[in-house]
Order: sequence, then structure tokens, then C-alpha cells
Amino acid sequence: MEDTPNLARLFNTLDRGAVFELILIAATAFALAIAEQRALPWIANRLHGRYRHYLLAAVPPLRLAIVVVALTLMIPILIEPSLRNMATLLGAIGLALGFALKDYASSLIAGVVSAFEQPYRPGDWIRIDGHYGEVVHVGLRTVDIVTADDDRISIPHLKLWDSPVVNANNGSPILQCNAVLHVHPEHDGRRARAALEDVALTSPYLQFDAPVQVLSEEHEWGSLYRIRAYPLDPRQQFRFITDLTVRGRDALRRLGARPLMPTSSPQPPALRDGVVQPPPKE
Amino acid sequence: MNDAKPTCMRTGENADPQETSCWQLVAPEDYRLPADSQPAALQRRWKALTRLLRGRDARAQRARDEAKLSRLPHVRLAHLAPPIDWAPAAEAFARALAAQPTTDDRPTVRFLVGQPHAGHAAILAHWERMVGAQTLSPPTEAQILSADSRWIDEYCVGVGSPWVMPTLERCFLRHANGLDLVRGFLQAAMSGALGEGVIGCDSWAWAYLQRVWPLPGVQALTLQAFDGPALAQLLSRLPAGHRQVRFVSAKSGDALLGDTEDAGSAHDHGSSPELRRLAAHCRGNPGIAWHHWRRQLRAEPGPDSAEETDGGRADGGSAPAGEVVWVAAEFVAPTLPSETGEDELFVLHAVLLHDGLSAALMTELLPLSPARIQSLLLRLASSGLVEQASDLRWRVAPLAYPSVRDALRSRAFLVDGF
Repeated sequence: MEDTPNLARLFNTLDRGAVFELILIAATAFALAIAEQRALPWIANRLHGRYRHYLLAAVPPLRLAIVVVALTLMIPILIEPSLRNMATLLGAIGLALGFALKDYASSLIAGVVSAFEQPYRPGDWIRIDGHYGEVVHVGLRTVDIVTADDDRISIPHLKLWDSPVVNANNGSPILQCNAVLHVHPEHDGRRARAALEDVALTSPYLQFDAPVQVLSEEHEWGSLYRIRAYPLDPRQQFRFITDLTVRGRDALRRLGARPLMPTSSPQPPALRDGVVQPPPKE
Repeated sequence: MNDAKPTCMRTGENADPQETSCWQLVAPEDYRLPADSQPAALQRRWKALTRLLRGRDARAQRARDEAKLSRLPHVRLAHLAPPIDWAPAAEAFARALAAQPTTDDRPTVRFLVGQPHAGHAAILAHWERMVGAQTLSPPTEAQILSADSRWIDEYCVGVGSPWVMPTLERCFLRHANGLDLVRGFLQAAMSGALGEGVIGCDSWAWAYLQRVWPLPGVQALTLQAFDGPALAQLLSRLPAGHRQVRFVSAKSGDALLGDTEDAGSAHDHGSSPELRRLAAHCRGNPGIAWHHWRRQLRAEPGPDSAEETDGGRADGGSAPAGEVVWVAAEFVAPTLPSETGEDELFVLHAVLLHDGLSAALMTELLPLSPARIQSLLLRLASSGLVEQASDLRWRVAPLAYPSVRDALRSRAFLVDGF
């Protein structure tokens, strides 16, 4: 019976002015957060290259800063910010979240961690739990990606705790693409490599400031060539791989190399985390 | 070496031509962009920002008096701003070649790298006539795509020395089969198999070829950037009979080039802000600056204007004595909107890399359908960004070149080094 008046004493008496102040702070913070979430991507999408990525990456930390500043201004209005009061309040909130909204709270905390550690930022191309796409929004609870099929997927931040996050470009506009070609082993390997390097060097999508590599592997079913190169913009990756694949196949054919056609492929080669699966044996 | 005087040299002085000529040749890495004044640079950035945010070109406000001025007819322009005479540049090139060290062990091959519209082929044409060199013809497109080595073999046995290949950009195509021939040619040239010679190359093709077949340590030259004073010297030239024409800024009323009767005095006016701004806008490219200059010339509207516009002047365009020709302050140049698509940029980049391409050839080089390419070309042409030459090759329009280069650079495309 004594706890109730104590808990009540925790909060300041809210007069009309205090309530107005609280509403004003909350509304301002909300408006600022919405404005920065819309304005920065709007400007970023008119830029290109690294400027676009830097601006997009600034959205989540800025929003977190707005939230922190708003809470810092609101808490002293609600309670006397003494150590005892804060410990009591945070303990009560923690208990409630721990039992009732565990996953939700975990996602929120992971969201705060993600703002600092930045395993993904808007503009990054990431894969989580088999979903691959461009990060378009990093919210407080979820990260939203848009896949190559134009599906928007919301993934809770709590996946950070136990799932690997594969980030293909890690906050930069440089993203490696792999075009994989399978050919019959009877061909001139050196000429094939040179021809495939020229295929990359003559692609209009090629980013010249990054290296071009042509790798070869021998398998029991045939030869595999992989063209590693970088497009001008990460958003061009699928068109770039298509361009390399189509022209690479033509170049190998002109050299007399017979293409091997895998009978089935569960996923396009470029989407397999660099691990190339050989065609199934018949 | 012939006796012709470089036309943009200061006259009336007994100075060493090498010191006074506006044509200076330097190694590509020594190219220095002309400095722009701080307010002009800020103004340019502000314009770029407004264009970015508005998504379209922010039209500059014109001065009222400038709006009242009328453009000059072609006949007048041809006399007031005749095409650049590249002969003095060829003489400067010959002097620069003579000053370069030669090696005794094998014949030397030198390169002249030129920006688009900066006349590297014309310079080499003059130089070839000066020294009696043999000009090598570029291969056909079919020879390039089939890597026909007979084109090289023919020159290995029969070429005279010195020889000149004025257009290396015509010797390759950005196609999986389009690089072998130029590699073979460069290998033969650099090994000395062709003898002593000079290769001219467009700056965009040069940047590309350096990536596909690096040529470290080659002796390359390029025209040094034209700053304000150099542009004043270049633009002061007038043919005989044109005296006392004053080029006056429509914005400030100041004389930009001085009295053309005394072309040498242009040097004293070279620091005018308008010319410095023009030099900075054109990145020191004299060809682009000349096109802009022609576009900026204006005349007072008067009873003669309509007559001139309709049929030209009876005397072939001669200016009346003491005539004032106004120079508009604003550059009227087509710009790319910030939302320009990837396909348009592919077309512009391909055109620049090859110093012009036909629509048919573009279908071989770009991952776009012929119909799409035609549509893009028509759209770009209607925006004034590209134009088709008499040889059916599409090129980036001179006035649009600075903005096209900026757009390609901002999207991480390979650009030239100037």
C-alpha cells in the first residue's frame, strides 16, 4: 500500500504548461524525424556514387539523435531525474518489456546497435536469411529491403543477434559482380581468359577504378570461368551480369569453346555468395 | 618550318615566339586548368545545386539590355569569329617535338593528345604538310572487328618515315572484338617496326586505351589549357579589312579584347573576368571556347539587323568602322537534367570515347536495341546535346560538352584527364 504513493511521487505534477511542452517536443521530434527521413533520401536519389550512399547512411543515426534529444528533453518534465527515480522507472519499463514485448524490445535495441555498428545502411545491398536486396529504409524495429523482383521485405533487427548479415558493398558505391560461364574443357584457356577480360573492359557498365579479374576452375564436368568486375552503380549489377554473360558466351563461342548448359540451377550464379554450384550430374 | 607568323602571337614586338604564343604544348600530366574567380565558381555551383533540386535547368536571369540585343547572322559571325587557324599550333607542336629528347636505340613514337573539338587531327594535318610526313589511314570498322592484321602488316613494310596517324580513336571500337587491332598497331609502333612517327589521339580514347593497353612512359603532348589572356590572344584574330571592332561586355560595358586593330593589346585585357570565366567553363579547351564565343556575340538591334539576318551584308559581312559588338555574359548551353537516364549517358559516353559514332555502329557497342538508340539520339539532338555530322557520325555538341563531361564524371564514368 505504501508503494503506490511512492510510485506516484516519482512523476512530477503535470500542469497545463508541462503537457503543452511535452506535446510540443513530441510533435517537433516527430516532424523532424519524418522530414529527415523524406528529405535526405529525396536529395540522395538525385545524387550518384558515394554522395548518395553517404547521405542515405546518415538517415538512421540522425533519426536516433532526434529521438535521444527528444527523450532527454521530455524525461525531466515527467520525473525528477534523480538516480533513484531513474532506476525505478527504467526497472519498471524493463520488466514490462522483458515479459510482454521481448522480441519487440530486442528489435528496438538491435536497431540502436545497428545505428552504431552499421552492418547495413540505406543504399547497401545485403542478404539476410536468404533474402537479397537493396536497403531502402532502416527503421527503429526493422530494416526494409527491395529485392531484384521488386518485393519489399521487412526484416526485424533482432536477426542481427543470430543471423549472418552479408553486405555486398558495405556503404560504398563499389559492388563486385560475378558472371559465371561454363564451357567444355577442350579449348584454349589463355585465349579464353583474354577474350573474357576484353568482354569486361568493353562493357558500358564497367567501373574502371576497380580491378577486372577472370578466374578459371576445372571441374570434372568441365571448365568454369568467372568474370569479376564492378559496375558503375550497385543498382546496375543485374544488368551488368547479364551483359557480361551474354557477350562472354559469344566470345567463348567464337573461340570454339563449346558451352555447357547446366540442366537446372536453383539460383542465378551471381546470387550465390560467390559459391558456384556445379551442374548436377546426370 | 614555314615562315607564316602565328596569328595569335603578340605583334609589334621582337619577342621569342615560343614565349609569346598562346599555343603551348605540355605533357598531359602538366595540364593546368584555368583558375576561375571565386564568385564565378560559387555562382556555377549554385546553378548546379538549383538544377539538382529543381530537376531542370534553372534559367539564368538576363540583364535587360542584354535581352534587347540580337544575335548575329552567320555571315557576320564567320567574319567576326572565323574558325581557329591550327597552323600556329602545328608550329608550336613541331617546336615541342624538337625540344623532346630522342633515343638512339629505336625510332621514337610520340603522341599528341587532344580534347574534343580542340583540333588535334587538324594540328597533325598541318604538321604533316610542314615536315612531309606520310599519313596512315585508320582501318575500316570491318577490319577492326575482324582484327585484320594485314592493315598493320601493310604499314610495317611500306611506310615512310616520319609517319603520322592523326586519329587513333578511329582504330578501335569498344567491342569485345574491337581492341586487338589497336593493340597490335601500338605494339608495332612502340617496338619501332613502323619507324619514327606521331600518333594523334582524342583525350577520351586516350583515357580508355590507357586502361586496356597501358602505355607507361610514352612521350605524349597536349595543348596547354587556354586561360583568360591566352583566350584573348586567340579571339583577337580578325581577317584583313576588319578594323576597329570593339568586343564589349554586355554586362559591364568593358572592352574584352581591346581594339582589334592592335591585336597585341588583347594581352592587356586578358584578365577580364568574362574571359577568365569562359576559360574556366571550357576547362581551357580553345575549340569549345570558340564555339561559346560565337554564341555570345550580339549586336544592337537596328535598321540593318533585319537586312543582315535575311540576306547577309552586301559587302560580305564587313563590320562598319568603329563598330561595337556586344558579348553576352551568360553561357547559353544545353545542360543535362539531373534525372537523365542511364541509357542516355551510355550513348553520350560511347560517342565521346570514339569521337563520334554512327547509329548503326552504336547498336554493336551498346546493350540497347536499334529502335531505342534512334529514339535516344533524337531526344538528345532535340535537347542540343548531340549533333550529326556530314559523315553521319553523332558527336556531342560543342556547347554541351562541359555539362556532358560533368554529368558523366558525377556518375563515375571514365572521363578524360583534362
